[in-house]
Amino acid sequence: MGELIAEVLRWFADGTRWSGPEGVVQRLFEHLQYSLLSTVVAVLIALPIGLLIGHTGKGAFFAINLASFGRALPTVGVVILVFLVSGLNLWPVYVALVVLAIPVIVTNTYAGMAAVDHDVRDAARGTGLNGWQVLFQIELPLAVPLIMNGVRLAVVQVVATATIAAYISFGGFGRYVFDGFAQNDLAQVFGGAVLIAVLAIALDLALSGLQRALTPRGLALQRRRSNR
Amino acid sequence: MISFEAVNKKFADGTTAVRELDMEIPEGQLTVLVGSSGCGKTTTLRMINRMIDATSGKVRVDGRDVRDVNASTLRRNIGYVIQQSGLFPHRTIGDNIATVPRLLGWDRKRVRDRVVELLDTVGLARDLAGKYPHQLSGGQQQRVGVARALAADPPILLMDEPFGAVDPVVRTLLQDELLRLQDELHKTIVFVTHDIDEAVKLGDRIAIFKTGGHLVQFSTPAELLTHPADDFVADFLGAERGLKLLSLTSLADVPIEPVTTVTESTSVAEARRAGDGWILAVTDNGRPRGWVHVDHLPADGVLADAEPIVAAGLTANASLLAALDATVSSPVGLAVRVDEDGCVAGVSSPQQINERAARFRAEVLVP
Repeated sequence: MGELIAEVLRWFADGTRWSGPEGVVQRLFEHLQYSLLSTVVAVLIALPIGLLIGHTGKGAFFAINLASFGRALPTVGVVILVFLVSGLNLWPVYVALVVLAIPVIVTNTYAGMAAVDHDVRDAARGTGLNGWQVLFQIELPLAVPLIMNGVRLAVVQVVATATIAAYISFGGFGRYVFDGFAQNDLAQVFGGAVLIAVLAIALDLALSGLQRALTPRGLALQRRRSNR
Repeated sequence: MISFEAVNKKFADGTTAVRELDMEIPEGQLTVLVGSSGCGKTTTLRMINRMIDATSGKVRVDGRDVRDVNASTLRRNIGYVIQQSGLFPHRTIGDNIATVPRLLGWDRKRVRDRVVELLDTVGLARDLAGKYPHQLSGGQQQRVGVARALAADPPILLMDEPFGAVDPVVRTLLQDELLRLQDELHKTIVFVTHDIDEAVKLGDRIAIFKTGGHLVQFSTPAELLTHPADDFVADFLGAERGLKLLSLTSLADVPIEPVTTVTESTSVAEARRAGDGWILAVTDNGRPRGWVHVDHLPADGVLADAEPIVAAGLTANASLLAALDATVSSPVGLAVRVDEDGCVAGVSSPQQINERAARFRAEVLVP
């Protein structure tokens, strides 16, 4: 065990590891590209669905159960399925990651909308806000913390799963994992795994900052007080 | 004016909330809809601003069928206050109050001035404008709810159990404030409650609903208390109908008898010379403190050292019921009267109060 850790450290210490077309920095950009693009597309699809279900109250059952469905869906299966149609390009990776990210964002967005106080929504309508105004001025701001929870969960899952890009010969940190296995180089496998974990944690921290920035001040104060 | 013509409301689950309702709610008055839960009073209220649409029949506001008006437009012209105030937790008090003016596109300065004006109107400090709802007490939140409803000066105000969630002391205070506001503003207010005492206290007219959505009686509080339409109404009004009637008229016409008062800073020795039984202690600026018996005075010192039986002062606006209550809890059987400044003006006896009650009875108990 100690031997392995030492080897992994040596792996990281190797200066040539970091630069060049196969270096860590290049792989980082690839991994970020797969992860962030997939998450952005997933948010663009999932957010409106979650908001719609939350606002109308129709399809709640669907929204609640989508998350379990998402967990049950084998990502590798999706990759292969899309690969059969699209051939060798990045489409299988993007489709699989987007499909992975959508359920958790839909479910959390719905949960955020469902948690908006009935009286608040009633008062908003009764005061004369129309449907869109209720959605964008009242429900969405109040649902922001839970929506962002969903996005954070999705990003962590997507970053971890973007490893599969290497499975069909593309880049990202998954390269180290798959190549390491192929070359029976355990240090490389672990090195790749550590990089993926660190990236996931870093993105989660960054998003928690964004979550704080997007949460309306009154809501943040209220939560802080009720947590005391 | 708001009118209901043969209005029915059936919900999808088959329950009938409102049945064949015909009612005309008079302009500029406070109409209370009262009844136990499930009687359709809230549904009736919510049909006015189209939060619920009637299954059949017509609801008209100023002669126009509400269904011919865009719901949001309609609601911006009708103030709406609900039980838990329904304030937007992510918006400041000022922004909450500014909701409708902003929807109506008022310019910034006009909105800001209006917010300040409304905080004054509902008796809240101006610096609360920058606070958030959770930083306010329940009673303050409810005041903000009222201010928000009044923001664009709508002629109609709908209030759905607005004081149901605050403690009794605050509730009484808010009720008094509402009456004071209504004295100035003369809005057409529709007020839902399940509390008959609240209904009697606030209502110019009271509509009593029965489970299943029947309007059983719609009349003035006095008419209701003296001539309940049936046993249901009589039961709902409760056992002390006669006493409730006394809450409808004030002390204004009851004569005031002079009373000897002794200020608190008076020495005990001097206070003893003021009378030989109960004396009325007042503060140095003339407000009532309470009754003190000369035999119970401390050996020396001033009157303030004695522990009086507290007597609250009644203004001319106080009800006969409050006055009767005061005579019962006073050791001398007298109600202490005060002027507008709260200074002792004299006392009234139970006989005088009863005489007024008898005259009031004669006025309202027309056979």
